Amino acid sequence: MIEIRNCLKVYDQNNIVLDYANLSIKAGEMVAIIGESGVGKSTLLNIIGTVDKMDEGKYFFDNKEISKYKNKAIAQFRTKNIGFVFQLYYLIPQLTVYENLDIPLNYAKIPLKLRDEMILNVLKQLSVEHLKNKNVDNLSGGEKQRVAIARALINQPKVIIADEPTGNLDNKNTINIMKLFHNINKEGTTIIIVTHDLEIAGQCQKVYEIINGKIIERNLN
Amino acid sequence: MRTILTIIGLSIGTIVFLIGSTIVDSLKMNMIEKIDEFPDNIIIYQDISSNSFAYLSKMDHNETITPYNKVKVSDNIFIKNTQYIINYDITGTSNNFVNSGVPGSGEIPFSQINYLSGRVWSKKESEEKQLVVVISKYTAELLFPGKNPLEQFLLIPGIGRFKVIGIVNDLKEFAVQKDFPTKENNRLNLPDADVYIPYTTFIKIVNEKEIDLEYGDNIQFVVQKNRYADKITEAIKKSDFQFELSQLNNNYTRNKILLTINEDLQSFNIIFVSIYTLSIILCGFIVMNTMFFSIKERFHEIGIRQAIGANKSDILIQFLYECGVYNFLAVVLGVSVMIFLVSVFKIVLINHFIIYLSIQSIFIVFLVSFLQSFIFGLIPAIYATKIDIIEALKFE
Ligand SMILES: Nc1ncnc2c1ncn2[C@@H]1O[C@H](COP(=O)(O)OP(=O)(O)OP(=O)(O)O)[C@@H](O)[C@H]1O
Ligand SMILES: [Mg+2]
Repeated sequence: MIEIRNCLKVYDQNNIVLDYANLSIKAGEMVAIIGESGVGKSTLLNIIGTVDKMDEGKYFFDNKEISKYKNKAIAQFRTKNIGFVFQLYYLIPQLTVYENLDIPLNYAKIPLKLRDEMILNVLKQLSVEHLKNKNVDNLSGGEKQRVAIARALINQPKVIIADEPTGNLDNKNTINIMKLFHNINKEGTTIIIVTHDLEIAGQCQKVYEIINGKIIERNLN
Repeated sequence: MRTILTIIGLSIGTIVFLIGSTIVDSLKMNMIEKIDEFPDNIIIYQDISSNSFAYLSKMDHNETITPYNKVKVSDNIFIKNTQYIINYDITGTSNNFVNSGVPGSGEIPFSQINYLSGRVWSKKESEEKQLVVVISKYTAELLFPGKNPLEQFLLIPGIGRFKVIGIVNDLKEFAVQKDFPTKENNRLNLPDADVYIPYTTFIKIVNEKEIDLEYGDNIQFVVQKNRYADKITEAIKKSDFQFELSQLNNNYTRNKILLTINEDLQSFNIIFVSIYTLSIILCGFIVMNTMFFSIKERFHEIGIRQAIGANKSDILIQFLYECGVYNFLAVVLGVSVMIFLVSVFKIVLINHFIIYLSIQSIFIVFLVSFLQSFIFGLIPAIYATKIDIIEALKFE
């Protein structure tokens, strides 16, 4: 489903982060991307999430060449297909959980009538219904990440990309969040997780490591 | 907090404008109110040749003339032990016109009737069927010998007290000068005693009292001092427009004065409009500043919003909308404060000064603030759309 070919990404003219790298991810896979700090994991994820662009190379999604799209079409593509989960949750402050989930629906121009049901469904799926009317600033880290995942899921994207989603969580919460990702993955959503925690990487079907600008498949066992 | 201060700042701008426009409008209203009591000095005489009536018109002779009614009144009065028997005409008039029935006018080619002093009734007086009367010079000399008849009252028993507001020349003098023989009556060479009342008033008397106005004898006229007599004179003296009343009678017409006032207020207006424009620009920069701060503060949020599906136009609209909401709140606040102030002043200044907050200026304030938020909000909003999503998504 995701096909990245000969991806070159250079910063500051000589910092080659991705050096004609290739990556291929099938629909329904749960994939981990590992690597040392500063190696380019976030950069790769951003390229997959279409918030960043490569300097050279091609990006295919469901056999469509996204790298040819114009800005507006890319934004549309992103809204429809990609859900983001961040290490620091990135909920919109001062709003309630419900309002945070309503925002992506609004951007996706979902009719008002349908929204309530969609929000309730996703909250149920992640067992955070009881937080519905809480201000997101008053949630614990684990709760915030659940809400963030709910937000990523709400427009039913094909892919969820998560940059160190458990980086700020304790063990118990990490286990719970990973359980959630497994459940979501079982229902058919492709999941790409950036992590430096090998235990988490080990739970994924495939593990890729970035070394010297190349993407190499790893077998952790 | 900054938002609240901005809103207060913006609303002060609104209030400044509204105070200015209220002062201008109120001054104007007060002037007009006073001027409405001034004479319409120029009386144009129109000869309608098809009948024998003369028409005294008030400025505008394009208006339709209501058919006049005419009643003959005779009475005896005693002045210095001498009995005078007077026949005079009460002539009905339309709203803005005096229809003067003049003896023998069928044969007399009148060209002009002059107002000697005072004025013809105002539109308001006519419409409200007030008891005001314009009398001829001869009538005045007979009834108010040695006195200024203006603002005095003619009391007609069973009809009412008529306030004398104007004096016109004797039309018969004109006829005599021209060697036209006048109607044979007991006054011989004396002019007719002409009395003019508004047509509307006349109709009211006839309808409501059903009085047969063919008076015979012994109608007594009581001359009373009018307690409001000097009110207008005082008002004029107090106002900014200093001129002699006599000068007013000779050289000014209501329209002329209105024009002068408008000119004066115009320059006033220009000052306020320029202050307002300055304050708009100032407020505009306040708006811009606040918006830039708000965008800086929410730099991160803008990235998040784009990651969860906002495109550039969503971001643009969001910030324009926010800016619009600030402005709207500011204007609502400003207008409410003004409405409150105006109602307080209305109570304090009741009967002294008309305070007038026009709907027009409130409308202008809303319109301008809408445009302002658009124009000054646009630059920050565009800046927000230019924020690089990757940069914005980095942790701080
Ligand atoms: N906007 C930028 N301008 C210049 N260099 C950048 C920029 N963004 C990233 N880089 C560089 O690109 C390289 C890869 O960064 P990236 O954030 O992808 O690393 P990472 O693997 O996610 O690291 P970490 O594990 O610390 O999150 C780093 O050397 C970084 O300095
Ligand atoms: Mg990273």
